[in-house]
Amino acid sequence: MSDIILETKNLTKHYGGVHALEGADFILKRGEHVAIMGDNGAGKSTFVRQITGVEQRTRGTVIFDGEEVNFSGPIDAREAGIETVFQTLALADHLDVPDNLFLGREIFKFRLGPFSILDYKAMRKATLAGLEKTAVKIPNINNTIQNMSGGQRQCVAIARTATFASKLTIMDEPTAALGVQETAQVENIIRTLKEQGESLILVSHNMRQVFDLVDRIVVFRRGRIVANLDVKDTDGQDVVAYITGAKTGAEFEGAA
Amino acid sequence: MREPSALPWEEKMKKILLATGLVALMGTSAMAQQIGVSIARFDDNGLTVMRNGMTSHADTLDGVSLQVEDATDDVAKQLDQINNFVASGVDAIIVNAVDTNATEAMTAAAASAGVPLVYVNRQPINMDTLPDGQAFVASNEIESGTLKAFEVCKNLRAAGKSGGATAYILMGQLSNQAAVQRTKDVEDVLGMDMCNFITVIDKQTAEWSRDKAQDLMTNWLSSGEPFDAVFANNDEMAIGAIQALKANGISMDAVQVGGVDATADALQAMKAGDLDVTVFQDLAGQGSGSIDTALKLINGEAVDKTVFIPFKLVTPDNVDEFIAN
Amino acid sequence: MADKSHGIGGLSFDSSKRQWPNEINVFFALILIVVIFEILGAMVMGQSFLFDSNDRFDSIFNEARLRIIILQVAIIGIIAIGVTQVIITAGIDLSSGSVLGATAMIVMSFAQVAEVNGNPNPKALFGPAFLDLPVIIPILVGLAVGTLAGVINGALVAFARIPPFIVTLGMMLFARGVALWWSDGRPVSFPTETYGLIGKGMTPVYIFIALAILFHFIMKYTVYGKHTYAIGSNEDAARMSGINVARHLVLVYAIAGMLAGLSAIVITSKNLTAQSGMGFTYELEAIAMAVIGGVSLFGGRGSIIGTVIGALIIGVITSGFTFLRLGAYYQEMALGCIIVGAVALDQWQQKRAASRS
Repeated sequence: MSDIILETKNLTKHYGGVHALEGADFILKRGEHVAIMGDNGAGKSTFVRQITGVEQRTRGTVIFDGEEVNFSGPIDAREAGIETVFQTLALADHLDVPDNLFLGREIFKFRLGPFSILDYKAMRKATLAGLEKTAVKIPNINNTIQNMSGGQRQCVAIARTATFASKLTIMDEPTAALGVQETAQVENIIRTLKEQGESLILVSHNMRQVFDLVDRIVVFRRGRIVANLDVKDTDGQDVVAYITGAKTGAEFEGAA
Repeated sequence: MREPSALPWEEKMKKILLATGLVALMGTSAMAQQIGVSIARFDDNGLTVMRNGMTSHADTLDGVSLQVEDATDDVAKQLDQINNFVASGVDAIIVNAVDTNATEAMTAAAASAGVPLVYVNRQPINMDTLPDGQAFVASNEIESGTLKAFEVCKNLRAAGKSGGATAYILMGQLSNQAAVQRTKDVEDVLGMDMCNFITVIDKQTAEWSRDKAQDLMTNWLSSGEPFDAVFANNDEMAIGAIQALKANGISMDAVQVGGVDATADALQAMKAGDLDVTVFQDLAGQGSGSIDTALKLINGEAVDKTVFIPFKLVTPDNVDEFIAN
Repeated sequence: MADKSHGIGGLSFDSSKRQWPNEINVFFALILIVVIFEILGAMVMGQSFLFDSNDRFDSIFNEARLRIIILQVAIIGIIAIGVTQVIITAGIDLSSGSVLGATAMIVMSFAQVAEVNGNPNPKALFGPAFLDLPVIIPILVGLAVGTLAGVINGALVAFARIPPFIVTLGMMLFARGVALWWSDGRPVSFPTETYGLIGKGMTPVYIFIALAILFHFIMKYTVYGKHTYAIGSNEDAARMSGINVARHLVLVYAIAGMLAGLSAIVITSKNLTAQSGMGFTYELEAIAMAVIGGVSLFGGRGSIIGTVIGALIIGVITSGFTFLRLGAYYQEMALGCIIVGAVALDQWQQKRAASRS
């Protein structure tokens, strides 16, 4: 089993005449935490959408866990082991924590088609285990998540990935809408995931956060990858230079 | 001296052509009798009988065509329909009023356009002040409730209850003059010396509906108040009351139930011994009568402002006559 | 005591932080309204509303009154069970009453008895081959017609993405037209005796309660129920979680249609007639029952139990006003106030719960 969990070769996406993503070669090793950075419209979100199967790529190959894949939709990607934590969280306010965690993949006591009976006990147990993995603090998981703080809700969303033994977690601006304390909460969980050997792609604008959490930074500019940096070898100013185009990584000469 | 038959050939031809033309003209104007009809609601037992009476009568007449519209119990919609009829140039309008208090506007609309208008079945509030070219064809609602109430009163006396009896009144939609009048008829009869041994416990509206009457009667029954008669403004509510009484184990011999309309369902209920009194309203007769009156108005003939078609009392004695029709 | 079965990370299970189910409030409202009528009854009528003050029954209650309270709301209650599910998905169904009307006309035509009082049925719509049919046939026809209407509603909402208000409004008008067209406005009466058993006595109530229990269970313990709440709460989240939202919505509206068809069977049996005007405004009364019972029009919240209590509240008010010999108009005014009051109270509750946690 190779130690590369995700690899893309020449990943390209055109929206009509717009080249949103061009020739992206990307590698992620098992257990690595990589940040994807870049200005607005640089191609970060497009890249994520191609990997998770939300859209179909124009060109290129994606190799996940050693196999070439072609996800027809995000559910496909999920079943293969890629969990995404969206900016909008994709949580249902009126449902409680176990309900949200297992939404779409409920555990059944009896299968009766659409009227299959739910196994609440099993789902509660698994939820507690998942929450423990992320060390999330929630007083009563049987309450609806409506009245929980933004940080707690974000933690529930992240706990989803821990519960389903994903092979790769992708987080798109997870703390963009959170306050300082809640951001710290979420970052703690990310560290816990690192300790447990989860692979992570983190899309973030937050330089401090990136340097606190990840091993490597990949910079996008104008649809192309322009830098692939080890955090130990660089600093904030350096990265900004790559983002704005003042600098271009050696092996990416010839890019925009 | 020249003989008339020796008129020049051209003159003769002209006369013949003229005569033919006149006949043809008269014929075509006789062809084009367009009557616009607005019915208060299509989904009403009794009004459907009236409506069908109109259409079948019109079918027997040469060159009369009806345009029948459903006002769906909507006062505003009905006025719109009248105005539409006027605008499309109908020769006459027949109106079965949704709200008998709201007929002034319709009378005005038709009168100002010079279109004859006939009110049918529901007595308009301006009945006494209808202008020329307008008339009212119906049965006199004073008769309906009165006939029913007298018969019930008579039956209660015969049953030995002249010492004192109590009754409920089920009313129709109170925006209908019929409901108001029929209720008043009952109360007037019960106010007379002969019948004032009967007191009314309560009167409520069940909106002409069988289901609402059934539930209302069941509610009344739950109070445990003893009673001897139920006066219903129409047969549907009478049947609803009967269903409630039977469901609660009350013998139909112990209670007098009276309705109005003599619908097919009611006649069967009477045959089965449940309904005691009803009153036949010749709705089909009202329907065809309204067409005839409209045609008379179109032709400028003299008509009575109000044409009353009599109600007929229906009891188990003569119910078979009515079933046969 | 630190109960680790719910809390994580060293926090104890705080039961005071558990959310109070909404149905309790609605139930208290019901009790309160009964008490008000009891007091008014003593003052105005010298009689008890709920209790057997004239000693006509074996129990301490006025059984006849208890029976009529629930009997008169049972039929619309059946519709309300279906409408509750639709509203929970953040949809709405305005067609229930008209679907009832159309189904009623069609169903009765298949339930005709051959002889009335010894003579041929004067109201038979179809030929002699369609008289005295086994009762299962009109029942199946009724359920099929209602379900068909529901499927059409659901498909238009889910696939054509037309707002539920518009779709069901269109179906409402269309179905009413079908009801009128079916027998040209003429009522259809005289069903077979077996058919008449369905709506006889308290059977409508038994049917209503049985369905309420069944659907309460379904909503709480099956994946269908869970997904219904999820879609109403956050349709995008549901979709992103892999739920086939379109197919689910069709199912929800189909069930609502089926229940409207079933209510048509019960009401035509109860009244032994089908009239094209039947069911008029029933959809609004059903929605009122759900809303009073705590269902949120924005979706995601509500329960069958709440709707049943809402139905009982309407039943109590109807009987209470008749008991006090007050006219129907005061009833309707009171109902209007209660609906708004119920929603206002519910919103205040939500705010309080939000500020407490």
